[in-house]
Amino acid sequence: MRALRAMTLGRGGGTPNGPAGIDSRLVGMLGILGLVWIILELLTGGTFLSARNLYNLSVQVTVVAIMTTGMVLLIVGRQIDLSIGSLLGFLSVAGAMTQTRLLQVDDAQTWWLALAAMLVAGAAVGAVQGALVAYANIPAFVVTLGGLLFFRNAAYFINQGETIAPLNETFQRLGGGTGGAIGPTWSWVFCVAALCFVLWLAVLRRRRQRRFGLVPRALWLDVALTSASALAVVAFTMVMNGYSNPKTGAPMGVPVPVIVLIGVVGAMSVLAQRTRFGSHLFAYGGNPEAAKLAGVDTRFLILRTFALMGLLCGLAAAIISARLNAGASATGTMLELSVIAAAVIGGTSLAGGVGRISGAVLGALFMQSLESGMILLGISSPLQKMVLALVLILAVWVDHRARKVVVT
Amino acid sequence: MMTTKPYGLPFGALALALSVPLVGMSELATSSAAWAQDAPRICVSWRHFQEERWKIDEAGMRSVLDPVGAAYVSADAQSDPQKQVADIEGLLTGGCTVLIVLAQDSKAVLPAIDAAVAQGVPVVAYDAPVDTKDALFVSFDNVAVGRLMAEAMVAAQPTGNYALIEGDAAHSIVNIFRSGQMQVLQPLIDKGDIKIVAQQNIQNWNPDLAQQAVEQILTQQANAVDAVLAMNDGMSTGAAAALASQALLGKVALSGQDGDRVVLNRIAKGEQTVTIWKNAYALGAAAAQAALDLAAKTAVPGEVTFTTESGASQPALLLDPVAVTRDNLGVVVDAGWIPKDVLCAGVTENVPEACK
Repeated sequence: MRALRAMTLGRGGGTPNGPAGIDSRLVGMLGILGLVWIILELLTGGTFLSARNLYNLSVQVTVVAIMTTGMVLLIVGRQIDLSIGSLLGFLSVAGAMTQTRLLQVDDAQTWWLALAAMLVAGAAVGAVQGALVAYANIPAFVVTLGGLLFFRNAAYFINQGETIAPLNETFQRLGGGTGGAIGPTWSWVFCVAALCFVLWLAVLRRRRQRRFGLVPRALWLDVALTSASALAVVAFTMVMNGYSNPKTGAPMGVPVPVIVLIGVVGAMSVLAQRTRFGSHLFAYGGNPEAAKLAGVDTRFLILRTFALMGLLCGLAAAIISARLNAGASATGTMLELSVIAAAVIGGTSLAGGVGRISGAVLGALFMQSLESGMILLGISSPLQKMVLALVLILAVWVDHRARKVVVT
Repeated sequence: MMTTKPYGLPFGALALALSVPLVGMSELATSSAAWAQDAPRICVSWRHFQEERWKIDEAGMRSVLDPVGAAYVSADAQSDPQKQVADIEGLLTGGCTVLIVLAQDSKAVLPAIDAAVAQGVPVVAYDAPVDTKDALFVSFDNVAVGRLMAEAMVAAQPTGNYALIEGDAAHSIVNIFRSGQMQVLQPLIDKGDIKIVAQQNIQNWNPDLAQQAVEQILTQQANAVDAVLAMNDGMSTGAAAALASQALLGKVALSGQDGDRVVLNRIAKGEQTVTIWKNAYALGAAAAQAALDLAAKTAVPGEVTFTTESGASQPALLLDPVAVTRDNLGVVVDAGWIPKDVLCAGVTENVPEACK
């Protein structure tokens, strides 16, 4: 296994690393995102980068971003899941019914019981779809296309299309509404914790690189990059504290769904880059036959990846229904395509074996920024979708060109 | 559509594969006795039967058809216009005296309508328009839906900034609703009393996309929005969540359409202004009666002329919808649409008449 681990160490993989050891792709994406933000800020006359809009944006992106982290791993493993939009709708309705029919809406235990039910149901559905793909050898496209039809209709069927509201008050905090942020004090606590994490990550990376006999990048560069990340964390906290609660006038602080998203991104990155599961998945995506010959249980690997996608779908369903304060059957229609688009813009290769969690989340943020910005500008919805479609193709084309330049 | 979407081909193929057994099964269930006695056979092509709403329409139809021994055969297109065409072809093959179609797409369904007409089968276009002169359109007056919605909103908020949250731009009914709204709003816009500050079409009438749109509109207008004219109840639920996150719920006028239970409850709580309610049971009964009249080749009473999207003159039977506000909430309870305890759940202050 040691050999396999070393073999896939360069994953995040196929990512062109610049001469100084910087991930030039990620830096490029950040640059383009920054540019788009500045253009939108100018076009909207100072509204786009206001604390209020950035708060909105950060909450709006959570649902797609959380699901995108799972989709990256699926695509890396040469799979696809088309059912997640429908599953999101089904779990929203099922979760709302759990709160209002099975439990008492106002009960203190209701919020976490409903959340747990949604997570378990999501993971179970994912595991079943994964088993059909891995053990029954049905292509993922077919299984999850079936899932797409099945769960959208199941979402209508279980409650005959009736919208269920209102939901539990504590549960609603997951949605980032007026009660859905942690306030200024805890936001600073969160900020300090995040700073420690950034620092720890930098130290850890240098140690690891030494351990594997690689030359760490220049110390000044690491210091500069870590300072930049730290600055971003502090700026984010200040912006979130800069938005005041429309109900009470007190500073809002970091929204609960964004904390969930950050947790998910952290956990999924560790899973992809630091665990045996991650190594095996990238190895499988790069070369399925080689991974099999190296003794990887590839069927169970695929099943677990689908189950993980289902679990994340349950989490996203909880956030979207908490945000809407309702379980509605039409929730998440066509959202699977937004998720796949975000993953692809974030540099995930549809051929498998290549992808990065952080890139995909940036891809989701990029798409959401354009969408929210265009609504601010009053651009009509068909035109918005046309622009997003062109951006998707353009982004992938530019990425392709950039990779070729680095390779040759 | 098949050629423009990457997944179009498998979707279409799957839909076709599914449609055949579905039509077949419903025929088996109902064809037995009625066919032999030469009773009329009423075929219904639903566009998306899973929604709660259509089960009520179906009950209304059967309340007229069952007592006279007419057969009822149905197929569900599951929101797919191509499957709907295949469904109708399947139904016609099985034999229909009259065809009732709830069209997914007003134009894509036309080849199937033409096939029915060519076989001498009269067609009823149910609730959604079909762009041909060769069908009897049975629906609520959708221009009136828009007009009543706007009237109720103007009554609550006669001046100020209006945001329009409209349905999917691909659905022609959106233009009909809007034309009704504008009968009321345009004079006030011209006078300068009302200003339209934002307008967005929401893909698939999706509640979560409507929420996002209203959030962005409120941000852009710095909360200077006095009314959100949402075209249906699903989108009004999204709009309500966006308003709540700015502590504006109940302070901004909000409309909807369909009479969703959640929305009726919001009206009782004073959080929403109006929903346009269509008594679906009455519509189903009216369509079934019209189908029987067509089968007997007698005149359909109450027939008017309706102009379709492309300007064709179509015979029509148009029922009036009801604008439900806090003043007349009793009508939905009296009709058995919603139990009083569901309507009045959580209503504590400023209790409307219907909850006392």
